[in-house]
Amino acid sequence: MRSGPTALVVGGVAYSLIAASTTPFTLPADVLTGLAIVAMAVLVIVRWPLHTRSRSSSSSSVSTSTSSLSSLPAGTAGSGGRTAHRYLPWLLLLIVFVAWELFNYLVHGTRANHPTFSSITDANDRFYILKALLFMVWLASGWVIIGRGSRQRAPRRAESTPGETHP
Amino acid sequence: MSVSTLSYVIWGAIGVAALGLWGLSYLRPTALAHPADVVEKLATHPVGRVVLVLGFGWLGWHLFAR
Repeated sequence: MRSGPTALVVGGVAYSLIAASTTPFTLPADVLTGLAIVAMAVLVIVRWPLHTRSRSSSSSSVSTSTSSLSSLPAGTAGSGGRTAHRYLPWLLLLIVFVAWELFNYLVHGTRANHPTFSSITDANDRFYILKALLFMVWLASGWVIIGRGSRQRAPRRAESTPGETHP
Repeated sequence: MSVSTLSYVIWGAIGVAALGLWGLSYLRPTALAHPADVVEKLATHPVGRVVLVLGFGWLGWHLFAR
């Protein structure tokens, strides 16, 4: 394994273990969670293009900042709605998730009878290792988000430069 | 079945559905987008990228800080 990614993973695991030892509604929890969010914001500013890139197969001069079709992933913009259905099940799942979360949050009754996603994760947080794992997943998802929106992702993938640490 | 049990069963079904879609996306990539593709679609969309980053921050703050 290359040293860059290894250091990143070790650092992420160590940070998660430390963050998981904090208690919500305390300064250490605020600081450690806030630092990760600030780091995410900085990386987004540094690594993401100011305007969304053109992902159309022809890389035409059509502006990409306002066209949703042109900002689709490779292979989707050119074929329009032909491949849009690939995303539909995920959208439906998100709708069901949000609807069920809102129902449980708003319905009359105890939280035990109507658990929200938050209350389930609160139960998870009683176990240090599970909380650390959840924090790791959260950090990793941030790294994936940064990588997927990065302006350098496509060229780097093609060049496969050794020693790169991008996700 | 109690209300509580039913609630957890539905949460479990949503989780299983997510895992199922995840697995299916690898078996039939032409029919179903990979989760990474979904993230990329959002991250490269003018509005989606803002929602994605704000959502990441809110989720972390909500789960671990407040």
